[in-house]
Amino acid sequence: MRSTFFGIETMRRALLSQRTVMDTVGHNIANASTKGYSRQRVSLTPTGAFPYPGTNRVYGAGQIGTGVIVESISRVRDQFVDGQVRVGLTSTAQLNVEKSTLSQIENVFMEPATTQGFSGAMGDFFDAWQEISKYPDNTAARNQVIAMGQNMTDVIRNIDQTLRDIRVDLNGQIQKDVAIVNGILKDIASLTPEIAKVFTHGMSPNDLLDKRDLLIDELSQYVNVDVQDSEYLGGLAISIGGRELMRNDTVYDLTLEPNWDHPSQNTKTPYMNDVSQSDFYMLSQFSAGELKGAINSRDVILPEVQSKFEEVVSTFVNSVNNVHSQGLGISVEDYSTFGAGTTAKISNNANYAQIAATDTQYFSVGEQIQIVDPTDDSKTITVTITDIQTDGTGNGRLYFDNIGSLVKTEEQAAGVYTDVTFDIDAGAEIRKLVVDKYNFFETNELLSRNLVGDTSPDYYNQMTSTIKFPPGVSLDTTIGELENILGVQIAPSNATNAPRLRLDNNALTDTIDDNMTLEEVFRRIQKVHPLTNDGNAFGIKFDEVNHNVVLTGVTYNALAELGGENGSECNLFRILGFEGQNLSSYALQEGTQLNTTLGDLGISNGWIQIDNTLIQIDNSVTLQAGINDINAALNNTVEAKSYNTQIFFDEGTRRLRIVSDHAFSADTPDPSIFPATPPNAASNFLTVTGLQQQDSAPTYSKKQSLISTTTSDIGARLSVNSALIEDVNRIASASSYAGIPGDNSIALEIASLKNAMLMGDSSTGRLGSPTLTIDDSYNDIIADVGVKSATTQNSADAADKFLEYYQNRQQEVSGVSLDEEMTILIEAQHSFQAASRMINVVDEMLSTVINNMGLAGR
Amino acid sequence: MLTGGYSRVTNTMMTNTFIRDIHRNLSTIDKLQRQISTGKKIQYPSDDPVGADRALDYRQTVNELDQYSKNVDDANTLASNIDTVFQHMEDLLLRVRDLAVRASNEAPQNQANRDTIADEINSLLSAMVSQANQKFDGKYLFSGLKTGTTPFEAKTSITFNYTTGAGGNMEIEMPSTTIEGTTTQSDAITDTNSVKAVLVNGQNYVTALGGSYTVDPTTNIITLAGGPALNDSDVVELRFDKVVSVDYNGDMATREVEISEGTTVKMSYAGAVSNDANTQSVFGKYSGEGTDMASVEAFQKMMQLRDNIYKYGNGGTIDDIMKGIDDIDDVRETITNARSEQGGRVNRLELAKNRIEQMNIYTSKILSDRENVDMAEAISELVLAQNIYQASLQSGAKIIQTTLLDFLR
Repeated sequence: MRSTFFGIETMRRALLSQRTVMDTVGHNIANASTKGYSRQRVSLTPTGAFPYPGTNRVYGAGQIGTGVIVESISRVRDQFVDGQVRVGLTSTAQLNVEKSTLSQIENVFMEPATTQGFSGAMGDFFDAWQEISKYPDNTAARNQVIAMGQNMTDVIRNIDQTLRDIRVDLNGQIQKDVAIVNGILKDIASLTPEIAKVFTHGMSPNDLLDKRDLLIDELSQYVNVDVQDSEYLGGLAISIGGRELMRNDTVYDLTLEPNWDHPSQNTKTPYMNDVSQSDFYMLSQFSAGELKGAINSRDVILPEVQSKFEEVVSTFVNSVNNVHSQGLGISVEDYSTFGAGTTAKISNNANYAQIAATDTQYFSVGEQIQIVDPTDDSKTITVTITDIQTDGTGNGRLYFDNIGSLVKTEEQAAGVYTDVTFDIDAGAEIRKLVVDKYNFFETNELLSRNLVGDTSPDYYNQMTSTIKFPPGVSLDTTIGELENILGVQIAPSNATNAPRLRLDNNALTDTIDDNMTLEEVFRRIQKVHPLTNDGNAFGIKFDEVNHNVVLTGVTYNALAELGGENGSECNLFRILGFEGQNLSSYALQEGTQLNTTLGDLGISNGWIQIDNTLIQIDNSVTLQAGINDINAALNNTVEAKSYNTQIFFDEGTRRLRIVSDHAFSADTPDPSIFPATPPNAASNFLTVTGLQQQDSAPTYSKKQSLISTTTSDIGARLSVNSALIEDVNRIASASSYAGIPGDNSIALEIASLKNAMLMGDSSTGRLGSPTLTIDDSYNDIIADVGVKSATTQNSADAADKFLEYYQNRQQEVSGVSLDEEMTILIEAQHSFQAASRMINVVDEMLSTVINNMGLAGR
Repeated sequence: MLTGGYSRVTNTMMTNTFIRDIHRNLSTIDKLQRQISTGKKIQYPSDDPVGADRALDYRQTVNELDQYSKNVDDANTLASNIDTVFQHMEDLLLRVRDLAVRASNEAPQNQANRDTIADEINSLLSAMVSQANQKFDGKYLFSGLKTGTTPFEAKTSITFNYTTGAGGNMEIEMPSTTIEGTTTQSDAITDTNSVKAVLVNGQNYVTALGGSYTVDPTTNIITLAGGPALNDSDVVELRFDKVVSVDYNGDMATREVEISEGTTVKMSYAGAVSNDANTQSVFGKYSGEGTDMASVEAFQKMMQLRDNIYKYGNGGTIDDIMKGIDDIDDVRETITNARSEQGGRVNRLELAKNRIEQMNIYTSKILSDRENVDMAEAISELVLAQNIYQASLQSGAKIIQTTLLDFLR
């Protein structure tokens, strides 16, 4: 027998359920245009039928339904589409950044729309030289050359500065983006406990999930994330390339560190924490996203353009300077007068000028001197020196061609002559005619500039260092043999990880293997064309007699960045002290690991002294801790002599390696100072075999580079030689003194540089000579940028369409359609009304039963 | 959630699509607008990378051609100036020839007349020298590379080192010059009055050294008397009353100017070439200052002729004058040759100019094809784009506004 209120109860359930439906519809409508909102649907299910089968059941015709109940309120979401949208967001963001960078680079050059860009300026410059070649002594033409030269340097400086500004901008963007990513991760992490709580209670936290999905979408713009459910209900694991960014509510922030192969201060790259080892940073594996785009733009796209432009500019500057510095201007100047006691004794039989013997050093055969009457400047004769001698009385004589009488006759009027005589014997002046040779362009030291975000320019270390070969090693020693002698791995046996020789920024495409001799390795290094200052090549000189290797070179960071792939070190050069650093390595006993205690290694408590640093040893600590302590103590202050000394343990070969910037010594500790008995030599931590000293300490000098890896400073320092601006007659046009002023051969040669093949060395092909003019090379840069830009624009368009498609799919699945909601609302409303009507009906029926039954006969 | 063959479309989808398409249309319009207002198809290299590369190349070529054109013009102007000078010189030389021919007629002339003729030739000589010293644009035409130095210097005195001759150390013989293997003794002593002063080692023999001298025009010997004897290597200076030497102070190199890549043309002129050179110069050879009495060949010949006319009465012969006339003819021929060479050069320059202009036009045309926009095409595309834009706005506006709510009671 069913209960009295059975019907009402059923209807009550209906009312409540339909109300829920209506409320949910209202929620949907309210959020119809909310970003990231997915529509929610109420899932209704009939409540259990009555009676439930059992022994005491009520018998009747069948089961009766008992109404409806809300099973769940869930959001409508397609995971796959979500994933695709994220892919689309990541690639669009990356392409947009790259597109924008390339577009900015295009704007910098402004070709071909402008006639005043680099190309136009260079054309004008060489045109000005053509003008000079026609009229070498025309002041207007000379002024034009100066003006066009200054125009060139202005244009170059402008381009260079703007490219650097783009870089600064990208730097800032990377910093900002990393902060944003870390912020988003934190937000996601803070949502996770909330979500987990709701799930634990059996409900679906739809709005929180929407919020979290939105955050993840935003995150995808910056980095290419993989999102997976974690082991906890409602938890997520977000990772990039297998390395985790976040798990549940623990966040592993991205950090910005200077990149190991970009020593310049402001090139910082995001690194990720490796969860398994704290404080161990690994280069993050971004493959897409805005961060990747910015890093790509800053480290690949922009430097490529910068370095090609560098090449063009330096070829241009050097070629012009080379020719110009061999030429002479048209003003004969710089008359140097020699001191008192200089006389020119010219007699009819001997043609010489007499000067003090010490002054003969200023003259050389073939030079021209001018002999001037001391009383009248206008009486001069120019002669060429044919011989220089000293006579017995301490006088020097400059001999020259017989010029006959020094009496000149001048016609004052027709038939009227006057004699103009030189009273040479009374002491004439001798003047050396000096025509200076100048460079056309000069590069100055960098003036101080305040660039936000990119402070000082890169300094090079000019280094000369002599390194002694370890005993038993010669140029013919192979790498394999060297490995045995020294006990370190240089060329790993795993071929896929074979290290490449990397010198500063340039990687050789060579790998080192065990069979290479040292000589071969050095030759390969010499082939590398590092970016150098003053054209000083990087040099390795081997000296087998003295068992030495002498290195000279200009490097970015004392040649310290020699390494293999992924930052792994190339042991070869650390061992040979390539960095000009002291080093040594010691073998430790079999089975030594980082967690072996020092006591087990046979070291007792006590002290060691390295230069001025005293370090107390507690032999109960592990090797790792001991090394850390020592490193900390050694690197305490910059002033300490042992600063920049590092000790590390190579587990593969059980060798303790020490690397230091300078020649230091480790003394056996003075027993009077140390409390404990000095440990015997055999067990002393560091003084086992003494340290291999350098033959000569490396000499460092800091020179400022003309160009640098990460920022090109050439533009800021290039200018027209100020000496030429002072006096335009110094501009070289003639190639010999005799040709002044009409000789224009130098001017012609400079003008012809425009069409000279100076660039595009094709030494890798059969032709070993340059094949491109400067113009061609520059045009190539422009075309290259244009192609890249066009390609990126097309890719960005395609990616945008991809994204659009999947965003539409997302909307299709999860979007709110007002029409649909209205219809559902009406449905629910009718149900609600019908249920209310039913309640009325039952109510009336019950009323009849309660109030109108059992009143018979009243 | 999708049933049937239709796809679910929400309001957000429609507005998103609408907005995206508006942006696309506007960006097309923007691009066309830009093209039309600048007239250039290629704003950035990315618009057409290959085209941009070519455009840059062509533009550089056009620039170069402009410069070459200027160079050709300048060379041309110089050439026509030189030609004018040659013209004058030819006239002068013709007149000299006429005079010489008159002087060679024995019968009607007497020495006084001849002297007058010779005087005129002397002044024509000076005029020739000043023609040769012409300037153009502040630079001397015939001084080679030393464009600031006056090329030809007419001197009225000779200076040389004395060597004792056959007559002993009281006799001064006129020095001789060798040009092209022919040694000629100077005829500068044309009569007893032609020598104005004799200086030995800078001192006047008469006034300072207390001597005297006599001249013999026939033998060209000056005999000293009364003063110190001459020593070898003494420096003797003789002063005359007319031009006796014309020295060349320029140099013998030439300056070239580029008229197209790798092609140059001479732009300066050496007034004389050295004795052993095998190139020609207008004024002939010159063995250098201070060596005896050397003059530039052409002037030397003129002086020789003049002097022969003077000396006719002093033992000169008609043959000498006739030879002089032949020499003048040689000089005239040299100048005529030089003129025709100049003419040839001018022709070459004009041809070069034509070539350059044609190349210029051609390259500019290609450049324009690459770079410039076809106005008609761009404008009609712009109109089309605008129409599309308007249509999309209108239709979109209608559709996104309608919802079910408009129709429910």
